Amino acid sequence: MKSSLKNRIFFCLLVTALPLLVVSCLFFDNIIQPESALVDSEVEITAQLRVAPETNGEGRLVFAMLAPKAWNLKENATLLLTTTDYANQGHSEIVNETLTPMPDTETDPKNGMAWSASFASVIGMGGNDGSVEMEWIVWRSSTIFDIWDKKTVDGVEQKLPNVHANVKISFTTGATPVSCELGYSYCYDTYGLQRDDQRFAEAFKPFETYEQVFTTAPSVFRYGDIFSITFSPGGTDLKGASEVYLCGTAVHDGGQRTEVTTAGDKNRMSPLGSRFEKYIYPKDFFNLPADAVIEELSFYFINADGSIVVRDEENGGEEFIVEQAAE
Amino acid sequence: MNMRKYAFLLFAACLLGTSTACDDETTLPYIPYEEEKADTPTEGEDPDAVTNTYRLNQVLQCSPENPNGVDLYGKFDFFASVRMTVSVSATGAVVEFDNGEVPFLPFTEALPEGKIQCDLDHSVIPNVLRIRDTDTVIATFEKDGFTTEFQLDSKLLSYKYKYTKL
Repeated sequence: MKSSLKNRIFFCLLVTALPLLVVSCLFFDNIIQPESALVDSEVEITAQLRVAPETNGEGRLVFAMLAPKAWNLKENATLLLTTTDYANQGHSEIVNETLTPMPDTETDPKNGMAWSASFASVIGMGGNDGSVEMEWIVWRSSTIFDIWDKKTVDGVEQKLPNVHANVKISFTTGATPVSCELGYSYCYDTYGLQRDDQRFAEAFKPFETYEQVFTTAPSVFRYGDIFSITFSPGGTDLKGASEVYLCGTAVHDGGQRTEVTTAGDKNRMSPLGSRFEKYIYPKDFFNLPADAVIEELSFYFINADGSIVVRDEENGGEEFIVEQAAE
Repeated sequence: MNMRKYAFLLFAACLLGTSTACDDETTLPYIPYEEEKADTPTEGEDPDAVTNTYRLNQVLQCSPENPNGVDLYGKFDFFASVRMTVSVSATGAVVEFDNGEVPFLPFTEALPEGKIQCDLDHSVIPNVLRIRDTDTVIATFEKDGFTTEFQLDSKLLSYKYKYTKL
């Protein structure tokens, strides 16, 4: 009887202690991701990770991203891991460690599935409706993290602070415009994924890529800023041109007009995948004095000898107009 | 006879002058001549100052959709011409900023030409390099070196010059 009572007490204590062991302690503080980008353009995303060491944990970081299959992120993405306060745990900070693709032979210890399939099964596909074929791509760290919730100093137990890390993800979007939700998740390779024993973080964010003949970036700027002009020649008379030059007109200082009309080194656009790009500081591009006040800007594109000209067909063949932000 | 007399007087005067000159020379301290070396600081400079010259390494444009910044350095040739020389000593810092061929200023007002007396303020994080007795911050100083942050026209965009040692 005594032994049975002890077992019952032990069982009750174990049941009481379980919630402490299954506390979710991995979070995303933020995911800095653009909402849109051009097709075939470079995108940089920063996932800000926070590990609240409520129980001791050890293992490699497994990081996963849900993205269009056509982007082939397993081959085309670069992920760099940097910790900011891992030193509080008595370890050296990790700086720009490259996360490597998870080998196909590795499986989730919770369910025995391949990691990509496990993320698809446990985390799901977010708000993606199947119109864009998506896949979970999985990477892991070479560092085996050893994170403790407490340490004892001079006989006094002290709780250790959260550990933060950034995963910087760089990749090039695919050639076809898409609209989807990108997914993000991470866990330890020693724990794996299980919904009712949650030791992972998850997040989804909408994203779309687009293609336009004429685009500018960033999304807001004024004429006194640096901005880029991107030209997608597909579907225009300059399709297949090896060199494209940016021309245009600046209206300034009470209606004066200054034009760039011929091809030269200064207005040669840089090829960028299937598109061409040029960053300009307008006063420099149009050779205006520093105190000039620009009132309007418009642009068009030519080939090297000027025999082919592309203007805004949707606007009656006028030059593409660039509007500045209010502030 | 007169000629002989004058010649004697002239000889006597020369002898006296030579003797006096020798006496004076022996009272002067010995000052050895040393050829100036290339690394000798020019007069007025603090000999204990550590001087470094920096060029731009990155020019980041930070926008609402790209808060981490897009690097513009390679997009324009003129950024390669920017130089900043910083001499730091126990008494403060002296900065020379050369905007090169960049067609805009990375400061709200033109800096004084030539050497600018500054202080490296360690009391704030990040540390700042501030023109002495003013609020004008030339650069902040963090683990990754000096950074100058500025705006051009839009309030929604900011730019960062990030420097690296030449």
